[in-house]
Amino acid sequence: MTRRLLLINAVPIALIAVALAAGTSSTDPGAFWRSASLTAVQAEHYASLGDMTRSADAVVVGRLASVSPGRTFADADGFKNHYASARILVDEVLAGSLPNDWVLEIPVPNEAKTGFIEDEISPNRAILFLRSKEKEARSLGLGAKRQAAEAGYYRLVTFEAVINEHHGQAEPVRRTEEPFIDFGSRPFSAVVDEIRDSR
Amino acid sequence: METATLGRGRIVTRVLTICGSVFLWGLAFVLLSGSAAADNWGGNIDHDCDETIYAQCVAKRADMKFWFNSNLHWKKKDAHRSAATSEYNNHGSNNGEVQLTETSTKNQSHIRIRQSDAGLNGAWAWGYCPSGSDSGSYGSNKKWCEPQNIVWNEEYSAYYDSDPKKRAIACHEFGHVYGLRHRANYCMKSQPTGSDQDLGGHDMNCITTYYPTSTNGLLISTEPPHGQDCS
Repeated sequence: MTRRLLLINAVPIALIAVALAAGTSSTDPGAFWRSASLTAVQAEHYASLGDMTRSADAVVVGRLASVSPGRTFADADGFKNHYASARILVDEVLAGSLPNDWVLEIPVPNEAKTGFIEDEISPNRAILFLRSKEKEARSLGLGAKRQAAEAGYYRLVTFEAVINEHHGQAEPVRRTEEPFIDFGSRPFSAVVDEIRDSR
Repeated sequence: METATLGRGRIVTRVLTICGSVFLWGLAFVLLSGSAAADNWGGNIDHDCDETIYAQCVAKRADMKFWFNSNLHWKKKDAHRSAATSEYNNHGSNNGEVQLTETSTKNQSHIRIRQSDAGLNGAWAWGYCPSGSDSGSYGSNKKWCEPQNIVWNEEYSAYYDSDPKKRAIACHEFGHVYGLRHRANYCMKSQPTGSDQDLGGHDMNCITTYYPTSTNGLLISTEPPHGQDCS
């Protein structure tokens, strides 16, 4: 009886094992970051990973811990620009430096969508190329008060500046923009090493 | 009596075996369906506009009216007028029934354009579907919304101070409204310069595909022809 039971259920048990293995691997870790971007003319553009690394104020390996509604910038006529605040658990700072308390800001033009973003958080490790908004405010010639207001706030250098770890491989969130068009297939650890070497 | 008990026990065992088997097959089916869905999730994110968060979508129609918020600088208005006339309205059959015209009535507009002190988000200008936009879908992965907003970020205005750059940005953002994605050349580059003021041939073909004359400029009800990559 036990043998028959095993025979009858061997196939579904095998299928369940396959499904569970596939399930853990098939979640798209780039979905969150693609959602958290604008279809925009961007302020920055890089031809190579090395250029992006050297330009960034910090490059980290980390994981998204949480996302919550953040700051709002309002115009005189009441038009509002919303941001979400993402907290990152940093495993390693590969280049540059970060303050102890910092936040990654993500633009959310449509306020009604702010709440959905938390559902898409991926637990995967990722390399993030970060721009300090305080330093950017300084380089744009904005006043001391504005610079101080931007302290601790960061953004991605471009909306594509995230490389996820997926099954040990490095997976850019988009391959449609430089420097990721011909990124190919590379181990995540090799890309981490490349970034360390290009500081 | 003993035989009857044995028989009943065997029946119970068989029922349990069958139930267990059905459960396992069912679980396997559910898990496999789920992982297939997860595999596809996000694959068409660039063309979604409602379910996904900020991604741009296609327009509902080729013939659209654009409206300027009163705070938009006149040079940016001129950039949009010029891009509409030169790149979108005057390509005859190459652009299907695309027609961009200005309106002074916000409620009649399909594209609403403004400038804003939007914060340091790394973007000079962008398009999006605001809350309250009407939206729908066609085919399996194309979605439209109407009206759409275009925002110029005043925080970075020093970077696009020349008229040719403004013109390139206007061409770029109108392209996003129609559903065009970034390309390596012409005004749909992720960072067009003053010499990237024009739509490329590929971009025009995509617009024609999305809004052919046979549908009076409304969205087509089927997917673009196989091999036509408009992403």
